[in-house]
Amino acid sequence: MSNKHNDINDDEIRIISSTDAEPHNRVRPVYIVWACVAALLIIVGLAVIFFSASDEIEIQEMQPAIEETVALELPEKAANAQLQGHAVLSDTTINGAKLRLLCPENATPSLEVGPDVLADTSIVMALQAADIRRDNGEIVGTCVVGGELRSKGEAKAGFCSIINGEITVGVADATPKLEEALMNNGYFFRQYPLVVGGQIVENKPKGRAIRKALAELDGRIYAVSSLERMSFYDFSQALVDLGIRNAIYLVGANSCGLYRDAQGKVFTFGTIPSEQLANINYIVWR
Amino acid sequence: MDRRLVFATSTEMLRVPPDCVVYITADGNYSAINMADGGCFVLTLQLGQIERRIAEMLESNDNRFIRIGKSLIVNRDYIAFINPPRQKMVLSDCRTFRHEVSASKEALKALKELLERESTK
Repeated sequence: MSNKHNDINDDEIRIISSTDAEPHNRVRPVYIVWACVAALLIIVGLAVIFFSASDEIEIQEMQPAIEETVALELPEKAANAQLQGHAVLSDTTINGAKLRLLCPENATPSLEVGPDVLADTSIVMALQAADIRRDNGEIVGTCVVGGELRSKGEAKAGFCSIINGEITVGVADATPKLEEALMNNGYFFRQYPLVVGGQIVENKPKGRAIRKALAELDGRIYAVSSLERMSFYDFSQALVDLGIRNAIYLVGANSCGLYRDAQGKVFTFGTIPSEQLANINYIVWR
Repeated sequence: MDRRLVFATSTEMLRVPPDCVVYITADGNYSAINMADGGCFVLTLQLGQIERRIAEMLESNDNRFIRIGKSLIVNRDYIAFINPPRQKMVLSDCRTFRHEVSASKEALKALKELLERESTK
């Protein structure tokens, strides 16, 4: 969302006048580029539909090639469209770091707050999302739930937005995703950034603990957990080695959550806090 | 009555006369609009969005608002004192309120020169 109104240095001044508004009404080159990209995607989509309808043998030949490009035991797409929502678990070791990946299938994400969230039997997968302040029990950083602003704060630059069921993981002190979440009954929370564009982000907290992350890999969202105590840096490095482009931290250590496998069996992990934390929050798929 | 500045988000709306806005500061995704009556409204809008809204709503000959660096917009009608070396600026109506804000030396120097040029025209 780069534009003239954000393009100013601290050493500059600019008189604000109505003539500044005019450029925003013009069609900018970036829109033309997006229009071209959209047209290209439509053409590619039509071509895919055409070839898939006319030549099934070619698709059968292509499928193994697609699987070969996946380095991990990534979950396969549900063959049956009627399959109930579930989470696919895969463990892997990358450069000595043992990781567990959980990928939700046929489930819609949201952010939910309250001590009773995990009691809902319709949940496919849930993990603690934003941190809770020890002093006052408030959520750390900006948090939006169903379009409602629950807390404010910029302590952590990583963010996760869920807008119309689509998760975006990124890093920005200011992001239009917050406003989008507010306007579209969406969800937003902040956490430590771990990986941005395939690069490690340094974080202040030291020490070793079980680490958890919300990560984007090959266009899909995974919850990744270390199976042993790791430093932030080593965990981030393992995510990069895994091929993850963007990732933010989730509440680690003995944070609680659950997932449901394809057979409908529910597995819980972590320790549910004994005290009733009103603002304990989870990123939930159902 | 002057046309009001309107800032609206999905959850709130602010409608204020331009001459009642003294200065606006940025805080990440938020902007704090400081009023002449001493009040302050914090909106979930970035300062660039505030600037855009002001530009859209002002009359064509109205250039009272000045963006200073990444974090500040001031109403020039209330600029009472500028000291670039000390990075200090006082915004006041010289009667009822007085706010002290800070900006970079270079920006305040440029602002001082701008106002000097305009005062000699």
